Amino acid sequence: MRKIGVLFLSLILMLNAKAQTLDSLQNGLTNKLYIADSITNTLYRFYKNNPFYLSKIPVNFSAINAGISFDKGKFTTAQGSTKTQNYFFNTEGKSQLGKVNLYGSFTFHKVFEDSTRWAHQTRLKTNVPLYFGSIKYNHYERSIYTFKAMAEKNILSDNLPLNFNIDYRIGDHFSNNDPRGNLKDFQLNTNTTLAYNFNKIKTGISFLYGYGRERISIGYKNENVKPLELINWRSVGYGISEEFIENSSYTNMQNRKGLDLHFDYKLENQQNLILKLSYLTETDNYVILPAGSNTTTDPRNLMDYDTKVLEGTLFWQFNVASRQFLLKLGYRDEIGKDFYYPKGHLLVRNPNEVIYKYNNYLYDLQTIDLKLTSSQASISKGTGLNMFIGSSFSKEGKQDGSSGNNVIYNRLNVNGGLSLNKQTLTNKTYGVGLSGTYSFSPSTTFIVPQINEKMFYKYVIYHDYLYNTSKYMILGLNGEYSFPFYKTTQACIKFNFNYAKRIGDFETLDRELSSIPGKDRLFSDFSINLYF
Amino acid sequence: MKRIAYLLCFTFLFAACKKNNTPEAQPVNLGLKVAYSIADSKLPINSVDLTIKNLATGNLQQAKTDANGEYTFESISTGTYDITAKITIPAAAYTAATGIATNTAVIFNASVLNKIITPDFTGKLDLTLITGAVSDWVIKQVYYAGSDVVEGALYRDQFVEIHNNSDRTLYADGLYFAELTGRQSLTNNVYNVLSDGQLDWSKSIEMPINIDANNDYVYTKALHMIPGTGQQYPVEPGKSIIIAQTAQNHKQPFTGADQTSISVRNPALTVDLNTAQFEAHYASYGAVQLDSDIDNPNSVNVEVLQMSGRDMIFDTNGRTAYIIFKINDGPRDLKQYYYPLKAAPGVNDKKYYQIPNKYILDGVETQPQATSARIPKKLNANHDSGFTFTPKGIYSSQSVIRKTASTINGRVVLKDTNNSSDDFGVFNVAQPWGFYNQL
Repeated sequence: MRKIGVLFLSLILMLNAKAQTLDSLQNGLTNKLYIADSITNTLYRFYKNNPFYLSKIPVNFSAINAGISFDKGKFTTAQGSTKTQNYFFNTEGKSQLGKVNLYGSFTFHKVFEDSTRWAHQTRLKTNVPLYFGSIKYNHYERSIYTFKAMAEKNILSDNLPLNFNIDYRIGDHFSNNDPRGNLKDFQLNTNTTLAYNFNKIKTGISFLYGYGRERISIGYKNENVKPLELINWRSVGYGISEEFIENSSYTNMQNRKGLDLHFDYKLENQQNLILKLSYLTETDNYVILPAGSNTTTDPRNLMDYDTKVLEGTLFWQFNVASRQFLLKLGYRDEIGKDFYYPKGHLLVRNPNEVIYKYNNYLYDLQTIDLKLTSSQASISKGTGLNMFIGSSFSKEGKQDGSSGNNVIYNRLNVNGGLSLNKQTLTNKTYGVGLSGTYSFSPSTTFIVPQINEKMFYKYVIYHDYLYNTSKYMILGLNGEYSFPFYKTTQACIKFNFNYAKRIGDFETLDRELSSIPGKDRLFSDFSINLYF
Repeated sequence: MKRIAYLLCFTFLFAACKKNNTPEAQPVNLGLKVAYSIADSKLPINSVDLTIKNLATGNLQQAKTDANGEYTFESISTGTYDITAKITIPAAAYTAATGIATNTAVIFNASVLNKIITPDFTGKLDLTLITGAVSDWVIKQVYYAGSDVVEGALYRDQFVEIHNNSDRTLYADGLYFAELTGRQSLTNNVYNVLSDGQLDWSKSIEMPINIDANNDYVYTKALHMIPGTGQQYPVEPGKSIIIAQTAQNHKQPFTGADQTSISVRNPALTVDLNTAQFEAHYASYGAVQLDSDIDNPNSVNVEVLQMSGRDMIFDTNGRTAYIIFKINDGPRDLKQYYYPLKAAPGVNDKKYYQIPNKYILDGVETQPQATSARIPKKLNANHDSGFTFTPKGIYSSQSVIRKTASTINGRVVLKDTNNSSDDFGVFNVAQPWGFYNQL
């Protein structure tokens, strides 16, 4: 797998180099402004994750980004980190080789999570119903590499674009406190897209296929010292937490496939309508190997987890006078269903073994978001104005059948913001923006029979109830400064601060609580970016 | 605009697909029905104490049976449970119901351990109440965990303590002490096993077919006997004897078999066994001598009839049951059998003593502290319907210690309901000759 990573990296670096040599007149400022405009930036982030739209990314767009993001605060979920440092490096670019469009990106994250508890996870998919963890906060270090490569060739008089995309990720995660986790993961996803250009409509279909693996090992350095807070628990579903203090390891093998339908409708006067509908199925198969057992004959199925995701995204780009608008409507429905083997099940079957397997856990997430963004390139000389207003609604449900737990959290967010950008005659740009979010829970279902209450309830379920039912607001401030740098390159320094604060008291919960969320959390990032 | 409206409608229709959202698993009603092993018993069937313990959550629920000996625990989560029943019949009531004279209350136990309750569970689970043997001798303390591998004495300070729970002087001569064997790991598939995962001894080669090899016998991996002429080693009422692996003061340095000093860094983690009445000196019986296996001349060496290691080393994880027994009705004619292997025994396979349950005076089942590491029980409910363990686990210095029931004229009577889950507590550091909660 390491070889695949090296191959990807070489390809991406080659693409960036190619982009530079092909157009020596490429203006870094143009690319910088492309990213700075809130409408084009929104669309760019959508385009680069959907190969169908590769042709909409400007040719010879290249960027290098490096920075740090820092989050701190206990106003978070029970299993979230209370302090995270994320150092990142990213390079991406699009180029053209003859009639072939090429896009590549490489991203590296080095993450330090100082406070992970109750969840030894890769964080790839946090809603899975099987994981290990301890009560004590645990320091985690994560190294994550992601590679992306896309190629598109347009045939039949440029009416039939064929696109192939490949994404590859490898991750390495470890903690240096007991219980010590050593987690390794990789993911390989492909997207094959076939499109056709009609007069004003481009339509296409994408076939998704991917697989991956997570390998989790947990051990103790201090074999003989296991106070309660260091004991390792195996969490199953949303209610069962089983004391499981032995050294252990397990593997999660993932497979996914899906289908995307795309419609891109060109309206008049640079107006555009984009619709994407997608369906994805994914399976997670958990296999555990008890400590000290035979690696060939003893692995046991522990759980199968099926996920189905239905998603729709609509963009409507239109103009009113000199002002551009982008309306985004998004919908996502994710359903997860487990099949649990309470006593495990040998991969190599023992004829005397009675197999127990049943569905215990259901996960359901529905989100709808609506956002209207406007962008005016020049409200006065060299000054642009971006504004947005939006709202999102989410409904997240977790059911644990065997313990009778059924929680549904509804959340409504309303947000808005504006930013000003100024460009000088010497091609320097300044920008500053403000944003605000108000978030509250209009209704909640909380059925958690106390008869089965244990440690997991007091630390996780009740904590999350308080967090998910609270009101909060987020105030954001961001700024940037860019300047010409080394011939055709534009350098940009960006910062972003968001401060989330709980409003009012927590909802009353007449249970014994061992953990409650804090009152606030700060999200910040600082980055240096080069556009060329 | 009309086209846009159509597209929006299409999107919402696409989004509106709904699904079934109830898990297959649901909380279940667990019905229990108790009955006595004695047919047509006139013993009371109501007010039997029932306890269910969810092994995943540790939650306990308790109730009493109704007039029909039944009770249903409603809406419990599915999972793995220990289910126990217990009733104490006063002496007079027992005599009235059975015609058997007794001066003490009689305790009946029943248990179903490690029972998986699945979502499709229906009906009632039967529990058969049996009374265990109440013996004059009881196992008082087992120190199997050992002490820290760096700071303490590892496993060389292990011991077992046996108590005279009667009101008269007993003689330890001829008293056997054994460690039982069985399925130590569920991942090993080379054995014939029963539905609960325990070894199916009836499948052992040369096992007679006219006996109940699994229910009427237990099997030892180490067997010791206190020597004596019959009245050589008296033990007064309320007093106890210790059989040490090595009868030394482990808190202080002592000279090992290789003439080098054996010491501990932290004496507080270990015990002084210098005055233990008995010790197991395996080197005298041909074992390759451990440096710590030295002979204390002031401590009587037990006879070693079967050894499973280089010394009387208990399983520090707690995967053993311990019994004491006497054979009063005949000579030593104990049989030995191989494990019930699926394949034919090899030249390196050993045989294990088969002990009739009727000889057992007392037994204690121990288990690893982690629920997930539990293994099938070795003792029947009439000797130990539960199990005990050291919560801090391996090399923790902890011992399991039988609780004190009463003190009569200075004589300590230990609790013996044949359920070590109730009868035993824990010493954070083992205490030879100590009492858990003297009354």
